Amino acid sequence: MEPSSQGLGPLGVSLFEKKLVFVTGKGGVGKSSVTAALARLSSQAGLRTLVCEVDSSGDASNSLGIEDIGFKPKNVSPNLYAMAMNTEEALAEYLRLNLKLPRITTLGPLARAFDFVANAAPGIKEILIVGKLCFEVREHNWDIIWVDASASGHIVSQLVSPKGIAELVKIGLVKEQTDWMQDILSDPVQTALILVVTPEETPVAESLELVARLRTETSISLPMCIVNKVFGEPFSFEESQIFDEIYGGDLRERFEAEVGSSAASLLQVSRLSSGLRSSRARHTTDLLMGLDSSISTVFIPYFMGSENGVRLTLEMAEALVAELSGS
Amino acid sequence: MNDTLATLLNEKRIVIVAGAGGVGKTTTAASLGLLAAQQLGKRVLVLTVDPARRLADAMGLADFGNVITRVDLTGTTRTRSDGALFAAMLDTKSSWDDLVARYAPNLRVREEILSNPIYKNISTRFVQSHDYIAMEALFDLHNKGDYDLIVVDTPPSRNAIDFLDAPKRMAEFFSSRLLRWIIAPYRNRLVASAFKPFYQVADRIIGSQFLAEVAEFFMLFQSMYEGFVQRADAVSALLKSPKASFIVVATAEYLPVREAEFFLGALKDRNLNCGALLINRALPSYLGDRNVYESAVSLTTDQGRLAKVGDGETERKLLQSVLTQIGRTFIEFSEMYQQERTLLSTLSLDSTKILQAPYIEGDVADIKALELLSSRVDSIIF
Repeated sequence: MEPSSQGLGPLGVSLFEKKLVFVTGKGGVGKSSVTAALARLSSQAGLRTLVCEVDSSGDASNSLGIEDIGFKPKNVSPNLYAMAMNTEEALAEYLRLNLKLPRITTLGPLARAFDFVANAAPGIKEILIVGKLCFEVREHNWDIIWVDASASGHIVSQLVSPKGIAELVKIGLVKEQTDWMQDILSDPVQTALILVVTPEETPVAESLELVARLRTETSISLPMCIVNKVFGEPFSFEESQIFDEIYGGDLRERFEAEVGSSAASLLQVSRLSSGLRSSRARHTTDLLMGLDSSISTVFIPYFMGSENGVRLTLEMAEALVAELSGS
Repeated sequence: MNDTLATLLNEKRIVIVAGAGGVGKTTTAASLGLLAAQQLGKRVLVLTVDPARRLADAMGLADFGNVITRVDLTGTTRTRSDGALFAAMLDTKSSWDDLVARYAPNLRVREEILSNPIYKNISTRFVQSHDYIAMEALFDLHNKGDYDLIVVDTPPSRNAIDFLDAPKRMAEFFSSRLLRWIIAPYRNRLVASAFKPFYQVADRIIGSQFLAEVAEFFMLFQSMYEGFVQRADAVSALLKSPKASFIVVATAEYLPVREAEFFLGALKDRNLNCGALLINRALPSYLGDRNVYESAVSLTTDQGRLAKVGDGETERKLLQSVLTQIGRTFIEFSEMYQQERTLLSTLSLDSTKILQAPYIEGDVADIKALELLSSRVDSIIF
């Protein structure tokens, strides 16, 4: 089944043609739910889909409704698999494939030594993460990989790690491996990064900073920004004038006479709600002004109190289909 | 002020604010600091990492790089004139440099470390370096004794536990056998053969030159071993003492609440004190009022006489739609509120006190908004 048969527009189709998509954003913006929703959609469109959690806190698997995912991809539903990145296992796999070494864990302390070096030496851990992802792309193991990537700050270090390693390390296997990784990462046809942001002050400011850093330090393609937790507009301009009159003007007394002791609470909630909405609208404007026109923006409404990860994912997936079916 | 909060801010010398990303740790830390200064007359320092810029502006934190700035409290409602609020934004890089300066055995080693390319890379990106540096700075400031209370906004940690374990890990790191392994062959050729398998593999993967550079860096760093380990132990001891307490922040959403629960467990396992769990951006409790809910429902079905007072058809229609919307908004928010309460009631907390700070309209971008927020912190009663 072609992705377009799901009713996706050009925006959705070109996104689903990618092989490797990093989904990133500040903590709390909902990037794991967004990743899970996108992965559900691509798997439903018939694409063999992998979700990879990096810096895993289990949020993506929670959103997919499964537990205990590990380095080995676990089947979630038809076409949909999930894994958690683990640098130690990534290294073991790499050594097995490249050096024909037995499983490194059988080498005892050596495994710990590598873990230690990977922890301490700059860029080693990052390159193992990026290397594993690029390897999956190169081997054509999946139609599409969605990466529930590290929070904003970390992602740049990961994306530049092949370049950084190439500069720091002059010889050795790692060095030989960095070129093809860089090719995959900078190919806009295969690879992309999606930014998830909420219309709040800090997430917007950090996202704009991240975009600037990604533009200067990496060559990754940035086709889309997903604005999550968007509130709809409650009142038209005329309606809001009337609301003001009820809230603190001529109509207040009549309103109180009508609804009795509930008046204050009722009005306070509407006030709170429109305050929240207008502050969000302001931050959305800041975001749109700050992003260049090559980045499409997609909006997902605030799903009030969806406590269950899976339910939220399904609601989000539905909202995303509607958005991605546009151009 | 809320009793739990007053007790905490009165008795503790250090309050550490922790929680998942995006729940409002920085704002909470600033609010607590403001309360202690304004209402309890304390001399307070808020130590923050990477705050929202407008909040930084509000607190007068224009400068980066460990500069302590006094926050102007003019225009706020103060019950105590003797209190003072200070704020500092922590800069990891310069804090590391300070640390090296303190523990390097001599000037030559110090300069060698500071100019080492791997140090430069590591001091900004080193594992848990933010976490450790925050603890380190805290310890230093506490020992100087210039403040009655230090409120710490913890760094954006992908896993808050890293923060708790940072001093221990730093000590382990420096006393690690593995560290000696890496360094050993460069110190003593006889030892080298014992490590041959390791080096053969390591050489092939990352190249011997890089490995040598890494080893050189660690060798220099190890000269600071004693200072670091003693210090890390002292930091751990301070955090466990009755002088220090944590406040765990969450929003009433599924993942932050689960993370908070996990974090509370981790505090307990480590014998660290938890003063309270604070639910930030909590919806107001009048949303649970049945009578108001009934009124809201009737507003959506029958807008009553009120809609009839409008002049002409157009105005009546507008009025009707506004009233319907007022009713709907209340219903929507009250459903959200019920879900919040349901979620919070699933928390297993033992004896941890729960506080809430309300959702306030607009952003917390100046000292006034901070004051408003801090004045509304109260206890949650189920």
